[in-house]
Amino acid sequence: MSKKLAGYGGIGLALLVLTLLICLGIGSVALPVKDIALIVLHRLPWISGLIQPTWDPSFEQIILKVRLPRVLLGMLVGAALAVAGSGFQGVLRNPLADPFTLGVSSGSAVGASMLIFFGLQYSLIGAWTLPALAFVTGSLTLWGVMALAREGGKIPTNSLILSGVVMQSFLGAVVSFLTAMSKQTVNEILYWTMGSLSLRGWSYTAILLPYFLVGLLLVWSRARSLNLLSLGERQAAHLGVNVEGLKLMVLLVSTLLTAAAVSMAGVIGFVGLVIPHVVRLIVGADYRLIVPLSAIGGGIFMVWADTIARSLLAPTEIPLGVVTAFVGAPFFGYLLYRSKKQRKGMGA
Amino acid sequence: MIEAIGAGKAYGGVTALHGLDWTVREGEWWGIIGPNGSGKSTLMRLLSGVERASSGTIRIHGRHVGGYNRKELSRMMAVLQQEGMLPVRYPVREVLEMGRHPYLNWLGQDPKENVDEMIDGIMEKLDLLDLADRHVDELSGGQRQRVALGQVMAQEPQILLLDEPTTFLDIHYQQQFMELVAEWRKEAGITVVAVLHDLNLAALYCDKLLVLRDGRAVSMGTPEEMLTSERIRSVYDVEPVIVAHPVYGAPQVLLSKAALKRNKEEGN
Repeated sequence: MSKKLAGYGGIGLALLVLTLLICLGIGSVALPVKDIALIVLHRLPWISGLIQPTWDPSFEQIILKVRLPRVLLGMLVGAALAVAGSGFQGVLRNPLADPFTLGVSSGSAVGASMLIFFGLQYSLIGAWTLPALAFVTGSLTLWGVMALAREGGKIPTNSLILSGVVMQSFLGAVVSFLTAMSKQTVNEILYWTMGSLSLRGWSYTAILLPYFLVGLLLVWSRARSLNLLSLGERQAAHLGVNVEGLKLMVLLVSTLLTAAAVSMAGVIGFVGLVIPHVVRLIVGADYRLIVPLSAIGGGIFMVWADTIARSLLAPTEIPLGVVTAFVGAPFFGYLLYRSKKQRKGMGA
Repeated sequence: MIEAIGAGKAYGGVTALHGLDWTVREGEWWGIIGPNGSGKSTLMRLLSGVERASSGTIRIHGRHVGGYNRKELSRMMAVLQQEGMLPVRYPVREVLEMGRHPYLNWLGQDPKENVDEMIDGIMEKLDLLDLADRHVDELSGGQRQRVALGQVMAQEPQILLLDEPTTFLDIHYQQQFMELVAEWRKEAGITVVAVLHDLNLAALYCDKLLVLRDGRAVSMGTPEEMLTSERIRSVYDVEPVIVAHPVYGAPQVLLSKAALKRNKEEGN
């Protein structure tokens, strides 16, 4: 297992670094990969002395002030959504579970839409008002869904998914209503619900990073129990897993990861659903591999998606949620088709 | 040792099990028999601690079953469920290793030495070595049941609970399964409690039988004492013929055709 993790993890991390270097170079001003690598290395405390600045100072400004914070935020948002997705799929033992199944993203969107609708998005705590409220309403939604699903101290998986779907359609209607009633010429609510990473500074990245790391470690630490859970809830209990405690913990952490990502970048679909599946198709059913590799995969996927979103039709930005669905859905379809064909081949 | 002291269970307003007093001593093999809906599975859920008794208590080794946490409990007791092993996409060997979960520390290390050799030994005994790297969802029902048994063997329990383990197996695998459990019991001295539908298998392998009907213990004792035509008739509402097994002498239950017909007519 650890050999497999080192292998896949190493390849994944290498791809991630390559992705970061390439995507940092793409934009209105194209930058060479070599300069990007040197600029970034120069900023690392213990090797900065070894590197002589030979690049155009304006390049450094573009990288450090504009592109790097955006690319890193995209990486974290993607990673957070993918880890949350793997957590949901593991706990609910349902391949359709993703960060949106439980209505969390719709909950966050309601909070954000309200603020935008009443023009309050910069009140109270400035630019932080919107993410903060989106986070609160997202978490409240989870609480509501769980309360709705609870039966005698237990949370049966089926009623949890049902409550989530019900809550999601209700809250989705609220957001649609607010969007329709909004009189702005540029509909900010609509734009927000489609997701974007533009104009977010370093502070977003700085807040999301520790949050994401804690969430990743908590879900990863439960990977072995999630493996046992795939044998069935009762069988897992017979093998020493505290099933209700495990479900509650992983659901909570995954929801908070989702709420954090959604509150900062808006509603970005498909990452939480597709990435864990792709990872599963490649490495198998072991959550000890799925959780960390989903984080890496989600990061890579989101950085590329955002690069396409901001550069394909530049200077117009395509909503990020649109890109993730455009790229994610066909890719997922292809993988599904391939694995089906493989299984048929094996059966013959 | 397992003790049920006035143990009962009600779901909503319906009582599935009425105050049961019952003791299982170390090393015994008990069979629980009775018609559908007689409370057998309810009793298993109470014994395994996944559900709590609504009245009375279940004690394992003198302590209330709810007083153990899941890990402590699963080090003493393993459960093989009716549905057996789900067709999961894990290699056979990994599924067997999952049986070690109750013993792992927070770093995932097993305090027992030579775990790999132990798993190898189990796989050899259960004829699983050739399947070690195959995924469980590619195996047949009988193979999956052997994997499920291998997992509980890796768990090294003192008590084994079996909930209708042979229901979905053909007679070859039924016999093989019961033989494997009997051999394990002889080697490790485990206590076995098995819900069985097949009265003849129960009579051949169990030391004692607990007979349930409508959530109450009708009777308990040796197979010879329990499997009388009178009792089978009253508990199952059938017309049986009891014969002694020609080789072992254990009682075997046969059904008579005419009796079934007569019952049907009475029912109409």
